[in-house]
Amino acid sequence: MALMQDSLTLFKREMMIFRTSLTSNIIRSIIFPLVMIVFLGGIGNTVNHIPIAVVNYANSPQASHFISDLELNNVLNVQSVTTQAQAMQMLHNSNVSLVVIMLPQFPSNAQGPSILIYYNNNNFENIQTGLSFIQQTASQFGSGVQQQTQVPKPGNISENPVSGTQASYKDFLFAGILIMVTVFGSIFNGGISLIKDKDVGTLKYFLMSPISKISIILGKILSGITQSSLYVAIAIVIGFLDGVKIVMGPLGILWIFAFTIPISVLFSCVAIILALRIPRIEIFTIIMNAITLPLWFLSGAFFPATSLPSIFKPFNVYNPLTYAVDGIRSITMLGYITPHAIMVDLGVLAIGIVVMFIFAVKLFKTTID
Amino acid sequence: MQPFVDVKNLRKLFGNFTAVDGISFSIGKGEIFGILGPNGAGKTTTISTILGIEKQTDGKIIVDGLDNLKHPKEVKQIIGFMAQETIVDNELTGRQNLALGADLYHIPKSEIPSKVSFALAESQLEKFADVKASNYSGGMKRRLYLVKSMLHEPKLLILDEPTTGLDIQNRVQMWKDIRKLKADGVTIILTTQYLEEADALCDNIAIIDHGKIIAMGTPSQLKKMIASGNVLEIITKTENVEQVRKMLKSKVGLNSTAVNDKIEAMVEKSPLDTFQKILEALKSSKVPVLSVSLRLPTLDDVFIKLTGASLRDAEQKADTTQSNKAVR
Repeated sequence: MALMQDSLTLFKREMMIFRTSLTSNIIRSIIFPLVMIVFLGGIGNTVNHIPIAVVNYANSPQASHFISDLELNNVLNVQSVTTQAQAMQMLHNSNVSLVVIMLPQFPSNAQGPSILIYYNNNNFENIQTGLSFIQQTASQFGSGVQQQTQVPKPGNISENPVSGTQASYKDFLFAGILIMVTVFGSIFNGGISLIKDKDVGTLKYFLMSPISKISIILGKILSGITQSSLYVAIAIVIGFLDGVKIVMGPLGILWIFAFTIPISVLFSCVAIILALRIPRIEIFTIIMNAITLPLWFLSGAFFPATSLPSIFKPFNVYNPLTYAVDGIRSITMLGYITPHAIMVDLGVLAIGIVVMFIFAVKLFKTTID
Repeated sequence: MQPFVDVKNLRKLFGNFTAVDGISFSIGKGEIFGILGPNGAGKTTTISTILGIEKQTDGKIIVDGLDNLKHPKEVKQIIGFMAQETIVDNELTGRQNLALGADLYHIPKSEIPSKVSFALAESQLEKFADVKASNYSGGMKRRLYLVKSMLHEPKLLILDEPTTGLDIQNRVQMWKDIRKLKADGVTIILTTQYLEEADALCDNIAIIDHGKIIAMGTPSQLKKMIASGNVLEIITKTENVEQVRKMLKSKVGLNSTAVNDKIEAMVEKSPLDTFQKILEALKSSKVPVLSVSLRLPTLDDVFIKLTGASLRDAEQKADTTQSNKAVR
């Protein structure tokens, strides 16, 4: 088909130009994930005052003792709560990172655990530090105070991740980095190259040649997908080297691309739309940053979107990046993605793509004709 | 015979601004047609509509019997274009640039290598075929661009100020190339700001101003429009200028003007006889004369007379400043 063939011709051209400055493109694509994952991702390692909620169903002196021991060394910031429902609500709202439930049988329970711990790894607190401190306290408590009672051995503590496995902030941040690498890659490719084409006159040359205008857009999108996918692959490798986990395993990498590619298409279209209207690269860069950085910030890439002030919540809901970050986070942190999540996350992206593509084609015709 | 290019009542509006206002012209096959006009007259818009980059608001454009609105791709396939600026991908080599052009014009894959090497030979760029175009000189890039525009063997070639900014050698080469194309049967539309270029190359010329054709014809027809006569030009020593002017007045009855050492006068009737008389008078008066010539008015004279001498760039700038102020 002529359209496909012309698109591939233009794609080939973009890639030839890309190849001529391959080294600088790759170096640029390494710097961003490297700084973000290695530097920012390391912050969670020295966290103090991890907020936890304790529900004391035991109401024994040992129980009070245990709670005050948990408050030692400033590792945890303990809040006492009356009911488990209340504590779980706090966990869901990201007010606390861990919930400790002390069962009535505390400190000993022959049939099973006497302490239940819930946590939510979509919070980026270093859960591991909190967990081990609680375990340590529980075992010390048992051995030191009440010799004859059954010591709540580590095996007696039931850990129930509400979501996620044992993850760090690095793992949390990873999804956001991948999305931003994709967005930057697509914008640089689609928008800046189009402004250059306008400037040099190459676009004029394409327009007067007997090809469809849509193939010019498709060529840019195809090259946007290829380039940003390369950048995502580099970011994944950097993540691996720095110890980021993808819980789903190798298949998860494919799933990551299932989210980065739609984002790449979407932002290539946005970049094309803006580049058609904006004559200079400097202005384009400023405007693009003014759009993408808030979107990124409000997408929950850095911190759980639940902790956003309510005034910003709509910007989180009507934000394509939210859905991509959410999708990738299910893959890397939960290890599975539900059909419902696929439908919502990819569905929103698909709608965004259709709208933006139609808009780009329309604008391309009216602006250039 | 049916004209090769037939433009009828072409109009193009940008919002409320009329860039082209009912232009009609036709060009025969193998003809060089010049479009002249001050900046902002509507030359580029006219060309862009023929190229299919802009869509006309009204009017018809027929190229080789094809309507540009009904058969846009077919029309584009037979048109080649060389813009004012040199459009080549600087990041790509000469060979890659040409191969890309060949792909865009749907030249069959099997023919591309031979066409590309022929084009490289034609532009004398074989040695630099695999060097990035960013390392080419201005003239080399221009040659690459010309062969790139001709790669699909267009029947109609549109040249927008092809020699602007070129040195003399490259300009002369370009004129040769254009004449060669004409000899090969290519129809050419040319815009230029060098009137001697239009005079030397074009079979027919249209002068456009404010989106309308204000004069059209062969170069000599246009020149005859402003004056039925010839221009006499005498160059002498500055101290003899007055003496010569007096002599022209008394011997042949000509009123003359002088700038430094150059004297000009309009010869209205029987130019050859008058010329002879002047020569004899000059000979007998023994005034030192460096040159005497009789020539037709140039296109410069026609152009200034028809479009006025004011600078359009300056006018336009003033307009934009005004409208910018209005926006603020």
